[in-house]
Amino acid sequence: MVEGIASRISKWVVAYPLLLIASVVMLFPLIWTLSTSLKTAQTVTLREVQLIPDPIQWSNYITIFEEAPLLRYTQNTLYMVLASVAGGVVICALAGYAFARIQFPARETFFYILLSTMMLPHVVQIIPLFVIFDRMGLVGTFWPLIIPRLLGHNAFYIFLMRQFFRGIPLELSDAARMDGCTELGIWARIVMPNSKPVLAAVAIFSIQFAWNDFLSPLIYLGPKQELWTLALGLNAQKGFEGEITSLHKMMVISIYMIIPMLAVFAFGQKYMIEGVTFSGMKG
Amino acid sequence: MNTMTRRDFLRASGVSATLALVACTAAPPEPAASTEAEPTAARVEIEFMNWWGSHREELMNEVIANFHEMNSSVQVNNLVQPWDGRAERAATAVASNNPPALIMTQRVETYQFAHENLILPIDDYVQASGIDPDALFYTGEINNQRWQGQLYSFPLPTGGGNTGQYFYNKTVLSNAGLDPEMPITTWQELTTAAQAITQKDDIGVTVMGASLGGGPVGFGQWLYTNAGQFVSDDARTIEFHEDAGVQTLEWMVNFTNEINGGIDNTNEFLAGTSDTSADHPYYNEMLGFLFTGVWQFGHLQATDPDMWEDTSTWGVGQMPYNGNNPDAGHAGVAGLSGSWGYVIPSSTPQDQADAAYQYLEFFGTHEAGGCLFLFNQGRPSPVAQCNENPSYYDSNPYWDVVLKSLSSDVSVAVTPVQTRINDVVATVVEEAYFGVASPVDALAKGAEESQRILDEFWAG
Amino acid sequence: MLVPIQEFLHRHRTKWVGFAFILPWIVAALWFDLIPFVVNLLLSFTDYSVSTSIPNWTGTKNFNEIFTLDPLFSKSLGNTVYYLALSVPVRLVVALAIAILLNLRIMALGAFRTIFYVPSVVPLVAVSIIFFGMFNARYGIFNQVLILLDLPPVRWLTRPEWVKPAMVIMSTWGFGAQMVIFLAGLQGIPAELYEAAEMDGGNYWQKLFRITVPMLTPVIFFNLIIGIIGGFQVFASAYVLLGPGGGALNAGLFYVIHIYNNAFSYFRLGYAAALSVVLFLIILFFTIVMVRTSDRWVYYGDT
Repeated sequence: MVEGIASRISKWVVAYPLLLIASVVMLFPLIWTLSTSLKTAQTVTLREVQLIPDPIQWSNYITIFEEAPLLRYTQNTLYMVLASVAGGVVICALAGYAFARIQFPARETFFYILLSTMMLPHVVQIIPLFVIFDRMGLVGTFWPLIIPRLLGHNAFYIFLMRQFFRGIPLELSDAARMDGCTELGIWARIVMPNSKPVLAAVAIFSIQFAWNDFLSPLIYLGPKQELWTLALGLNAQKGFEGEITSLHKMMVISIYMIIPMLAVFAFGQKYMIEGVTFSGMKG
Repeated sequence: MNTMTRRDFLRASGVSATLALVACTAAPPEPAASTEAEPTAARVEIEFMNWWGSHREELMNEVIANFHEMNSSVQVNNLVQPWDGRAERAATAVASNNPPALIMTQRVETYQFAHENLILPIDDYVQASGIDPDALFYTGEINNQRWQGQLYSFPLPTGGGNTGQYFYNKTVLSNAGLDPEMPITTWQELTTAAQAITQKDDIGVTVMGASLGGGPVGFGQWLYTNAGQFVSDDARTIEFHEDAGVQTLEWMVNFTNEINGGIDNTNEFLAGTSDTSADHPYYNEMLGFLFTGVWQFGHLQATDPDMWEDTSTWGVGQMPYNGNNPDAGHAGVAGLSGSWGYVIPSSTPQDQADAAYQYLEFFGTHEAGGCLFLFNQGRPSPVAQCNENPSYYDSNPYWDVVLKSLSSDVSVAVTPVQTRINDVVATVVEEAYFGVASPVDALAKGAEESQRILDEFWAG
Repeated sequence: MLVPIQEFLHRHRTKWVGFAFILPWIVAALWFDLIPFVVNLLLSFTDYSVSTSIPNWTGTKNFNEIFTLDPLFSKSLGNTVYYLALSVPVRLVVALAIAILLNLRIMALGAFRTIFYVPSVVPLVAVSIIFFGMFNARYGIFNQVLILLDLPPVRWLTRPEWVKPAMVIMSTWGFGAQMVIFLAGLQGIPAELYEAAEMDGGNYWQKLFRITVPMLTPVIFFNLIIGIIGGFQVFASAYVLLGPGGGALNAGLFYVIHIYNNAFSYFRLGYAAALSVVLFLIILFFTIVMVRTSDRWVYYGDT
C-alpha cells in the first residue's frame, strides 16, 4: 500500500517523538535495575540516582550463582510455567469457546459464576485452601500449584477468550458444521487457528504470571527449599525484617528474571499481530 | 564485630561460669562411643522455621553445627523463609497437621497462638532441665515470652535495646557549632541542638537535627522517657492518654512543626531510604540524631565501615528524657512490638517437640548458641551474662552505653490484641502530626477505641 | 432402556457438549472457589481466629461492627472507590492509545512494543523500590520534571492528598497487559472495513472512531470489567509502596489491605471473612450493572 505524504509526515513529527519519549519513561526502571545490579554493597543506593556505577562490578552476575541455586529455582519455576501454559491455551480456550459459541443450559448463570470467582479477595482464601491441601498431604509438593493451573482455573483467560471467540464470523463455523464437524472439530480447526493473537496473549500472560507468582509458592513450597522458585529466591535476598542489605544482588536476580520474559514477549508479539485469515469473510 | 569463631568467643568469655549454668542438661547423656559410626536410628529430625535471612543464615548454620556437636540425637534443619508474606506463612504453618517443630514468632503472635492453644508451653521442659530462666535472662526479656503465667519460648534477640539509646553524628554537631563530645540527655537539650542543626531550602529539609518518629513505638519511646505508661501492668487499662501522654504528644508535634516544618517535611527527608543504605542521611552528615535500636551497630559497620572505624565521627547516648518532669529518666520500651521468640506448635509429634525444646534451650541460653549468634551481629543478648563477655568491649566502642540502656528498658504489658491497639495509636499520632485533631483529642479518641478492644478481649 | 438414553443424548448432543467443554473449569471452580467461598461465608458469622477448634457462632456481630464501629471500613472503601474511578479510565485510555499507535506501520515496531511491556515484567519487589526513588521529593524524576516546568514540587508519598494520585501513576505505568489485549483485539478488525471507508473518503480520525473503536468494544468491555474487579481488590502494589498502614493518614489504606490486616495481623479471620463478603457483594453489583448495560455499547460479530 502506498503511504500518503501527510501520513508520513505525521509519523515523523508526532508518532516517533512520542514513542521515543514514552520509551525512556518505560525503560527507566530497567536501566535503573541494570545499573544497580552492577554496584557494590558500598555504592548501592535506594533513592539517589547514579545510573553509571563506579566501580562497575560485573562479577555480581557470576557470584550470584554461588550464593543462590538459580538454575534449580529456574527448573522449579518451569514446572509451574508449563502447567500454566497448557491450562491457559488449551483448557481455558475450550471453556472460552463454550461460553462464546455453544448453547447449553444455564450458560448465562455459569458465566456470572465465572465472573464472580474473581470477586472474592485472595487473602481470605489462603487459609481454607491451605487446609484442604494440607489435609491431602500435598503441602511441600508442586501439586497445589499445578492442579489449579492444569484445570484451567483462571476466569481471566476464559473471559478473555470468550470475548475474542465471539468476534469470529459465524459463517465460518456454520460452514464447518455443515461439513459434519463436531464442536471439538470446529474449535480445533476453525477457532484456534484463527485466534493466534489472543492465544499468544494468553500464553504470554500465563508464562509471566507463573514466573513471577510469589505468595502461593511461598505457602506451598516454602517448607522445601529444594522446590523453591525464582520469585522465592529473589525475595530471600531481603534480610531480617525486610531490610535491604544487598540490593545489588536482588537486582541481579531481577535482571535474570526479566530477560527471559522479555524474550518471551518479543517472540510472542509476532503472533499477536499476525494477520487473521478470516478477514475476507465478513464486511 | 568481625565474625568470631566459637573458640575465640568462648575463650574470651572465660566460659566456664556461664557454661556450667546453662549447660544443655535437657539433652540425653551422650554415650562415649556414639559419635559418627553409631547408627542414627534414634536421631530425630526437626524443621526450624525462621526468618534470619541473608547474612544471618550463615551465622545460624554455625549455631546449629555447634548444637549438633553437643547433641547427636537431634538433627536441626535451618528452614529460612523469604521475608514477605511472613504472617501468612506463619499462620498456615501453625494451622498445618504437619508443622515445623519450631517456628519463629513475634511476641504478639506468640500470645495470639498461645491464646488459641496452638502452641505448647515449655514450663515442664524447663523444670525437667533444671535451668532457671529468671536468673538467666533480664526480667523484662523473659517476661515478654510469658502469657498468663506460662512460658512459651526463650527470647532472642533482645526485645529491649530498641529505643533505649540514640546514635548521633559528631560531624553534624560540629558543623552546627555544637560540642560533639557532649551528648544530650534531655528533651530540652535535644530541642536546642536540633534547632541549631536543622536547615531547609525550597524543597524541604537539607540537614535535619532529628526526626522524632511516629507509630506506637515512636510515641512509646518518648512516653516512657516522660514517666508515662502505655497500659496498666495488668494490661487491662489504657493509660497512654493521661497527662504524661498528652504532654509527650504535644511536645512531639510542636518539635516537628517548629523545627522540621511539619510531619510531611520530616517524612520526606527520610522517605525511600533506610539505615542499611549508603544514601541514608545519617551516613552522609545530614542527620544529627538517629533514634534506633542496637541493630544499628551492625548496620553502621556494614554500610559505612569508614565511619564505624572512626569514633570521632559518631557517638551513642542514652535516650533523652523530659528534663522538666522530675519523675522522668532514661528509658527504653521493650516488647511493644517485635520481640522474637520460637514456639512449638501443639500438633508437633512428641519426639519432635522434645527435640525442638532441646534446640530451643541451646539456642536461647548457650554461649555457643544465641550469644554467639548475636555477638556476631554486634547486638546484645537477652542473657545478661553473655553481655559481660570482654569481646564486646573490644569490638564495640560504646558497649557501656548499650548495657546501661538495656538496664533502663521497661517491658510493656501486652495482650493478643496489642497489634490492633498499636494500629489505633499509629492513627492517633498521625492525626496529631497532621493537625487533624489536637493531641489531647486524638489521644482521648484513640484511648476509647483501644479500651473497647481491650475490654472486648478480656470479656471474651 | 439404553436406547432411549442414547437417543436422548444424541438429540440433545449440542446441549451437553457445552458442559464437556467447561468440565475441567467446573471441577476447579468447585474445588478452589466454591469451597473457600462457602467456608468464608460461614466464617463471616463467627469469631474465627487461626484455631483448630470450632469457632463460636456470633450471628451478625461482625457485620454490625463493620457498619457501626469500624472507622476504617468506610475510609478504606472510599479510598478504593477514589482510586478505582481515577485509575481504571486513565489506564484504559493510555493502553488503548499506545496500542493504536503501535499498530501503525512504523519502523522498529516490535522493539517499541517490547519496551512498553517492560514495566509489566519487572518483579514487584524491584518496582516498589524504583517508585520510592521516583516519587522522592528531592531526588525523584517526577519532581525534577515539575521543577523543570517551573511547577511546585509535590510530596507524593507523604501528603495524604497525593498518595492516591501517586498510586494511579504507578498503576498506569504498568499498562502492558491491557496494551497486549488491545493489540490482539486490533488484529481482529477486518481490513476490508478500512478499505471501504477509504473509498468513501474517510480520514484517519473518522476511521478511528467509526471503525476501530466500535470494533474494539468487546475488548474494551473486557478490560473495563477486569479493571473494576481488579481495582476493588488493589492490594500488592499498594502494600509494597505504602505499607500495611496505607501511607499518610491512611490515605492509601485500600479495602483489601484492611482485610489483610484483620486476617494476618490481628488474626481476626472471621471478621476478615465478613469484610470480604461485603466487598464481594459490592463488586458483584457493579459487574451485573456493567454486563446488563453492555448490550447498548458492545458490538459482537455474532449479533
